Amino acid sequence: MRADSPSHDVPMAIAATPGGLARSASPIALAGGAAQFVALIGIFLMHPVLVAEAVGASHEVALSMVSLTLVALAAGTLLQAFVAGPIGSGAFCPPAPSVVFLVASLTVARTGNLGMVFGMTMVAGLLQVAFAGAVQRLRPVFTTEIAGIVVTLLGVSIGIIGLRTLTDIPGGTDAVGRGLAVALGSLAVMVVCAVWVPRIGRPSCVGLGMVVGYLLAWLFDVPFLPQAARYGEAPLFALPSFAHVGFDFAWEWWPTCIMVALAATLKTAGNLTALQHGADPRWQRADLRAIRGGVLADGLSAVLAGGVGAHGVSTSTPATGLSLGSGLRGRGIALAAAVLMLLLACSPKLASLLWLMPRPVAIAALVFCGAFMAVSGLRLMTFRMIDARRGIVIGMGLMTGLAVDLNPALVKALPPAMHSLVGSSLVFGSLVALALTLLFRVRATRRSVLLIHPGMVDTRAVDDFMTLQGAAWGARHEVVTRASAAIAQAAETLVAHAVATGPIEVSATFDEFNLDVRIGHDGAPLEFPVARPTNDEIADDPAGERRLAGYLIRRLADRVESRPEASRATMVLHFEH
Amino acid sequence: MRNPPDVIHGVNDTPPHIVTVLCGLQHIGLVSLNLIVPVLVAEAAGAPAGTATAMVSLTLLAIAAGTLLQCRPGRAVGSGYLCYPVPTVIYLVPALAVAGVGGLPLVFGMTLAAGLFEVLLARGLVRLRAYFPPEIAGLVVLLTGVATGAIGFRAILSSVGADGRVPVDDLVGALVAIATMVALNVWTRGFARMLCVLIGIVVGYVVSIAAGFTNAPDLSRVSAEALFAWPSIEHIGWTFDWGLALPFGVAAVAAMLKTVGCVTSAQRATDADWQRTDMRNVSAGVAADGWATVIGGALGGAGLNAATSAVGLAAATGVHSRRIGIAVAVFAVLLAFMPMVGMLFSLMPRPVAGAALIFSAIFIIVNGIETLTSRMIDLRRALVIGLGLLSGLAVDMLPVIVQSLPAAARSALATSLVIGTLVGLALNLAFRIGAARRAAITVAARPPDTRALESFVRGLGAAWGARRDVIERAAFVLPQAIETIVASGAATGALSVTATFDEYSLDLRIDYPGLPPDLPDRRPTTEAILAGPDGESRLAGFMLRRQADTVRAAQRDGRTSLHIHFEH
Repeated sequence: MRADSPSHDVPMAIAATPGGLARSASPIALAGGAAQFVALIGIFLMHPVLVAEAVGASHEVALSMVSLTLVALAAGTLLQAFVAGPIGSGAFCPPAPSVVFLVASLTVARTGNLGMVFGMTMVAGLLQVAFAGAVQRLRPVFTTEIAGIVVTLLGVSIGIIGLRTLTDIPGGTDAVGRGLAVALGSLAVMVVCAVWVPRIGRPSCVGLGMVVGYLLAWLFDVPFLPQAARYGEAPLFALPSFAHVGFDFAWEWWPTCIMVALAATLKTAGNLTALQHGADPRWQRADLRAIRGGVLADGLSAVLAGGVGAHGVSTSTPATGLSLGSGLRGRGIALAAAVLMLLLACSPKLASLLWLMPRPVAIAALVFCGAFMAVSGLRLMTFRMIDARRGIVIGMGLMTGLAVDLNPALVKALPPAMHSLVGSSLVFGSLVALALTLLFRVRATRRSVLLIHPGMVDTRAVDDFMTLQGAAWGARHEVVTRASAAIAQAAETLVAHAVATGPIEVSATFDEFNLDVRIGHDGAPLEFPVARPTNDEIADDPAGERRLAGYLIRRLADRVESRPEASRATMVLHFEH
Repeated sequence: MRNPPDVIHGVNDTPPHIVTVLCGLQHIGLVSLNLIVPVLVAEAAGAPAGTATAMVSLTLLAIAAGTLLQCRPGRAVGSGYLCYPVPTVIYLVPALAVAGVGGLPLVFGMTLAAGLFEVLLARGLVRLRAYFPPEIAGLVVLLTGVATGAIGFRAILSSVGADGRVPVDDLVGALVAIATMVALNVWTRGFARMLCVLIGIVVGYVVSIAAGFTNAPDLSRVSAEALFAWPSIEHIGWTFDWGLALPFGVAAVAAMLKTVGCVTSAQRATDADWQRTDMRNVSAGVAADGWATVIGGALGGAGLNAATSAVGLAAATGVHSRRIGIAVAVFAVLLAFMPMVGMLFSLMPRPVAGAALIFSAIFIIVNGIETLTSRMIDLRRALVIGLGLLSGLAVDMLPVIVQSLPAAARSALATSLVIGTLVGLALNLAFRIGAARRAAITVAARPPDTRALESFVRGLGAAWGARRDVIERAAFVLPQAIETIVASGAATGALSVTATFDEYSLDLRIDYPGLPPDLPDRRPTTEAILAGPDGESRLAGFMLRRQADTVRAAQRDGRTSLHIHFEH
């Protein structure tokens, strides 16, 4: 059964592009695919400009920061995709100039000292490196529900972040209306390409949608960002300068750094979990070793970004959503994306075409990618069975997270001490869910017993028993379904052949990796043949039918064991989880 | 229908009287949170204070009638679930707009008409069954839950002080209430769990008073009210204006969608074997909901709509019995004639009320997520769910988008529920284009590659949005069937497998040259297996039958066609 144990679900990425694209793709397809990731991430190259402007730096410094950020992004992409010792997750999960850093950077930038921003970025990155060490110990609390909450909140927030910029379009509600039209047109192209043109359209859906979006924006007279007036004349080719780089730090920024590192760690864990879940049809749980490597790589790329005088970077949720939606993944595309980023770093003009992108185009791309992320999160949440406790964790985590986004004005009404905690939907929602998970571990039982009386094998009672147990454990649906079927089959066989005379005692124990069912009964033990009994055996041997039943139970379970005792026998059915 | 294992009293069960009464009290506590709606309408119309009191009483009478209609299972009217109606924000928005212009008679007339329109919509709903797959139903439920939770948060954070901040008292009050509810729900059994919300409300109430919180209720207002009073009916009158048909009509659509969400949620929470929305039952629920609004308008009360919190509360406490509805109706009538008791409820501290709403919203949200992931999800379904969810949330999070809509559509259309659902429905409709419901492969007549066959079936399951458990059974049966055919030597050439799907059935057809396998209905007796030369294949056939819903073999021109049918 090991080789062909049923998986939970077919991930959507697999469903339409078998095996992913990266391995077999031509260099042109690879470059095209990578280009749309770079374009998507390019939206956020606006962030270094905002920070530079906040400290009152010159245009040249702003453009240098954009270029250097691209260098840090290229390095981060490679660190993440190519595993080196403990560093890297092996996944194509490129970083972006993250919103996580933006808010903190803008706060720090009020000091007027750019060096302070870089110092804060490096310290936050180093903290993240420190957090990475703790990741693997978090197995009991980083449940699939929590991962699901993180991923859903990430997905919702990038969609909303995108839409929020709709108000940035100058020209009042009329312009908002035209902007919406362009965004919808661009989004429609992405959807149509992804759904109805699976071979060519799907891997490049966002890229094609963005190109159409630029055209529509031109047609509908939706302008580039207002900064275009100042940065539109950037040179076509220029190497970044390091003239603005300097470092400073003040102790008052510690809380900010901790919050940034925490948010970046959660975000990276969420992004990587979503990618793992999307790429593996047999996914069962988050691979925490890879996530630790990923968080480490993410922290190091932030340190590097601060070090070269760039904006802080952290894994990109839109890119993760795009990877899920387009089915593009693998090291080939990571390499291609890194090369494109380095090329862009040398051309402020081309880079500015991306970060000055008309808002509706960016909105379409962010909403499209956010949708995949959100759905991936919802699926993660229900990947395991849910009881009242887990339901409360999911509901409260999601609701508190969303409440932050739903009522930004109301958050400001809270006491100031709570602001940094509640300011990010991701951090607040995840912390509430984590706290409840820890709390609910109090008095959670892991073992109980069901008695089946011979003469009335009630398979529904078996189902109910296992459903309640499975939900309390947070086990996977299909493992519990298989266990129920095996228990029912065993009990029926024991009763039908009058093997058991007294009550059959069923007990089950669970930990994250094992589900063990013990079935104790009177009489001789059942046999569990490895091979299907041959036709002749079944026909000739009075025990043939029992052997066939035993064979089927063996197929349902991952391992079976028979323990005969004096007058009683116990069978242990082991299910891998 | 079978109760899920965590349900204490299922919808058809009769709980002990004491449970019925106390749960009824708990529900009426949540109902009373919505009684502010008629007061706001009366104020907007500039009516005297006495009219507001009368409207509250008359609304309570409408609630009682509507509850009895909804909780009684009927063919055309009444879902039979505990989805009683309460005054709703959905009708509040257009009513406020109208009250200042045309006075209360116009509000009542339009409300009555909107109710009738909802009844009409209910008729059409049955035909729309095919357009409400579980992912859409789940989306509706999820958005309903989020909207309810958001109202709860707003209630907690509503009393902003002069410094622009919420008093810490309010946060503490809400936290105490919700912590009580959660703790009782998780760590207790029996009465404490069944009444967790009521106890939480009482604890929040008492703590607020004892600690002297800013938001603590002023109990002197309770004694100022009369113990018993007839509601005045002087303000009642009805007028109608076609010019206002649009906002009220759209509100009726929103009310319908919310009822769809509530009834679906109740169906799923009370049925261990839930597979899909029972649209006929939902339609009866929507009809009852419409009639409740008609009664509300006719009596001179507020427009009513199914209470999300009722379904959430039932799910949280495990008590779904429709008999609770009778208790709710009785309490509503009592409250209608006893202003003193009504005041006691309406003084409930807002943070405590918010906590109760959030707590019941949690269970709706989880129900929604479980419903929309109950089927396998491919790219199309991911887009339906993801874009529907994001556009719904965007409406709540970004009011600016709403302002860019045409003015006529703005007021009622612009709720997260309506926008999110319409986006989901539209995408779902579009994605039906080019979605194949049939697939085929050919397998050589030798022991099969189990893994390849399994992934064939699972890939189809995701594309079709089939149920996971049915697909798992099919993925188990297909290789087993081929193994049985091949092992018995019946097949003399390649086997071709065709799979077809519609919402109610999944069919596998295996065609091959050769003889059919024997497929007995009953387990062959041991003697039969020993005696007959084909005993073993009869047993294998029986084993297949157990996994599939029907298995049938037909033979023609030396070819056998084996139909394996799964109900879905």
